[in-house]
Amino acid sequence: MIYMDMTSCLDYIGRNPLGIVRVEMNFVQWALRNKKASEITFCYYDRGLGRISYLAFSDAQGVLNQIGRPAGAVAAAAVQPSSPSVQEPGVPSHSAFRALAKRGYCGLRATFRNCPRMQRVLFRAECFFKRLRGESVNSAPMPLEPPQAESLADPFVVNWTTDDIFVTVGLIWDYLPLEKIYARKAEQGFKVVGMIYDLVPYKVPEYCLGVPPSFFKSVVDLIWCADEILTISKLTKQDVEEFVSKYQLPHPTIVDVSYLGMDVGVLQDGYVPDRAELDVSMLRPGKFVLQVGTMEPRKNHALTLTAWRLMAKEGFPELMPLVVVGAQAWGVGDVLEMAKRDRCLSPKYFVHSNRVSDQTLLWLYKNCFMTVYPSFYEGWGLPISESLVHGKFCLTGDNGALVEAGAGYAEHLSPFDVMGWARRLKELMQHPEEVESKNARIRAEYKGLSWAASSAAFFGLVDQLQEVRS
Amino acid sequence: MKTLQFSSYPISVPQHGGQLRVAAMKKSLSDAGIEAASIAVFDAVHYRDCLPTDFPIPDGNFAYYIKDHPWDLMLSAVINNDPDRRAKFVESLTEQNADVYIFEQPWLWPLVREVVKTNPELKRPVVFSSQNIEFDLLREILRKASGGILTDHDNWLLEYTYQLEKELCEKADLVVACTKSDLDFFSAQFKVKRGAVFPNGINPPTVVSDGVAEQYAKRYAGQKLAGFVGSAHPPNAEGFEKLCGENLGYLPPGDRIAVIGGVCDLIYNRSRENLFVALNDSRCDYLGRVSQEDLDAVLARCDVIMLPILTGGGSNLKTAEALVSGKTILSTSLAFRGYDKFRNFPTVNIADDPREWRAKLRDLLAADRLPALSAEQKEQTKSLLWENILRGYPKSVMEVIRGA
Repeated sequence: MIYMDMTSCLDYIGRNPLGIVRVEMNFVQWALRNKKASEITFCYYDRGLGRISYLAFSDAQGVLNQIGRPAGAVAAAAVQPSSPSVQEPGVPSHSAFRALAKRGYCGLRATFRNCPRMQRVLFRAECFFKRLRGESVNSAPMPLEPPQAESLADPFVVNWTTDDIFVTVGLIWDYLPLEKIYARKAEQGFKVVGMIYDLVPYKVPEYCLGVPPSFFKSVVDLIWCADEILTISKLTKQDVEEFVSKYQLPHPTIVDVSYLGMDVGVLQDGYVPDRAELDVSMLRPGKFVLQVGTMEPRKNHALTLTAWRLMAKEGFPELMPLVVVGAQAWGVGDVLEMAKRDRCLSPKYFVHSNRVSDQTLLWLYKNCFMTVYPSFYEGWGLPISESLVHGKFCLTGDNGALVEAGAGYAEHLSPFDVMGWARRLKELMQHPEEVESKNARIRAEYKGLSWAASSAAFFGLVDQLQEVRS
Repeated sequence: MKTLQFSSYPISVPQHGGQLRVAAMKKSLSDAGIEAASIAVFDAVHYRDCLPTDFPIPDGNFAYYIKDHPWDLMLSAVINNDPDRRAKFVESLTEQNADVYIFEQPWLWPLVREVVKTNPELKRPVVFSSQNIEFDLLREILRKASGGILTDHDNWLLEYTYQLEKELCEKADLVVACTKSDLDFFSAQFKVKRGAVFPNGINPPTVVSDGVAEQYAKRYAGQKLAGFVGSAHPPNAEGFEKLCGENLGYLPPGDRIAVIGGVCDLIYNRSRENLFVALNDSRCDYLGRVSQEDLDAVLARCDVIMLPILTGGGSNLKTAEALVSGKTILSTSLAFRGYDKFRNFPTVNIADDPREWRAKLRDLLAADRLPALSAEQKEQTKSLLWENILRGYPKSVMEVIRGA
């Protein structure tokens, strides 16, 4: 049996999903369509109860349906519990919505388990809300004494065997008690498959602010637990192996690459971005350069803005505007402010938007001349794949994963070479036929990886682990 | 017979290695029927407890001296240059009327020398009880502090310390050293009349109450545990950091390193800037300064005791404690200096290379069973107890008194 962890999906009910959450969503979706209930069980880490809890198939689909929807819509569409046929014996099935509410309550019960006074308060609150809902109040006696020592035993119990595989690909540093998984695995012998997206905080810590403190603990503990680690690029695989070797960690049985798929939307006929969202009145189709990605030092907007300022000040006649789409994260305030104040550059040659709709982004890809992405370091480089799948040539940085993502269709320059970038951009803008030729080749040859293909490959790699052991 | 020990720290509540050594030596004399007195001159900021015969110096009085000089070197001057304190010190020496002066470290020798010049009736035979080669240690400290470049002032301090140790070694009727290599150094450099080696030892482990033992058994239930005990001496933290590394991920989830003693503050505070701080915190339990009973309880619970000592002279008391505990030991070669006859014990593992250290630590903690000492080997470790190590010490001191 595969036990697929979908805690991150549950955490994002009613919220816009991050990239990693989308990965988990897509894998779960594929499994729902292509796996049987006898092959896969969906589970999540219940923080309040301190244990793994389980979802039925229909509940899992319900969770996926609620991700990205407003919170009110979530409450209205609460999933009904289904049959317990795929449930762990003795473990109640929860609707996803109720599970969320119960987690908070159980968290309080667990926190104050040694405080009789709080236990009584919480018990009375539970009875009050039950009466409000018209339910019968539990006739068990009110807790008066602190729980006995036995009831404080670790609730993290799983009844998995050597034939079972626990699969986790989400934001594990936020929730997963890997040390408990490790201990249970030592007792029960099940296998573990995990995903490491990148080791950017290890490779280039100077570009990382606000990394969750638990990130490295979860990476290391995952390496200890996992029989198989999957990475999203050969570069990340290399980084993992370097990390394992440098810090003398145990090498998982399998370290392999599982490329991620992409969402490819469809631009509505006649769509034009709303002016309030992005003023495109100054942009001519095929006559602007697009840069997509969160604005932070690692993405190197400083290089593109400096190159554009250089070209603008030189009075380069073929200069096209640079359109930057990306939320401003940290460390770019000064560069952005300078670009906006530079009258040679703004507003004629520089347009910025923190966030645009999917349709507007599609419009930008469709109508741009080319894209740029001078990142210093990436675990993959999704904006490059997005550019290529929309048929647009990308000038990008030259670190390993960007070259991999470029797949031979992008061009790579050092992210430190501002003058080199300015020179090459001028050449390309002076010779648009060269760029159009590249775009045509990309349109004819480049095939992005669909989520279906990515998920099938992922589960294929998971299945190979069963063959290794059996 | 009466002895009078001079030290630069009080020994009423001995905690660090130097205090424990001085206190043990005093006890061995009194156990042998010799009246043993002591005078400590020290800064009152670092030590609270003391004996009525001691001279605690309030922090303010050190301000002038600390500005340009390390305080150890200035202890004699603090007393000698203050007429009231000097008078009290002379009065104390007169009252004590000892038969021999024992200098634990050389710092108070200039004071007594000057007092004896003006009060020749207070002259007595001298024992120099060295704990380190102070000149060597000071050179290491000054080099580290200055990035390897010594100033003229640094060189003056080194020369002063060297001359101080030389003078005391040559004046003393007996030079006592912690290790043979220390005594060999003194004998080679200076005209030592008579020398003896009494290594550092330890007291037997305290009796741990059931409650305390159970507390630590629960705390570390189901975990493999390595222990590291050290004072807040920067080289202790540096050894730990260099050998155990910036990333403790080579230990599996659940394995822990208990860090005990003053070194805890150094390691904990310095680790906050580490990229892997949360990971390392999950592998470390920072216990800090604990009572002797708690310390013995933790060590009794440990599977491995670590001795990551990379610098320093003398011999290491922690090595003796680890050997007497009978636990598996992971140590550097340097930590076993002075304990060579125990190096081949089945519980002893030596590693000086950091990668080798980490691999050994992981392997030792992963082992289902670790080798144990035989009954004969356990008996041999008793030679590390103070009561056995200092068996000949009172006799050596009495010979000095009689020879005077």
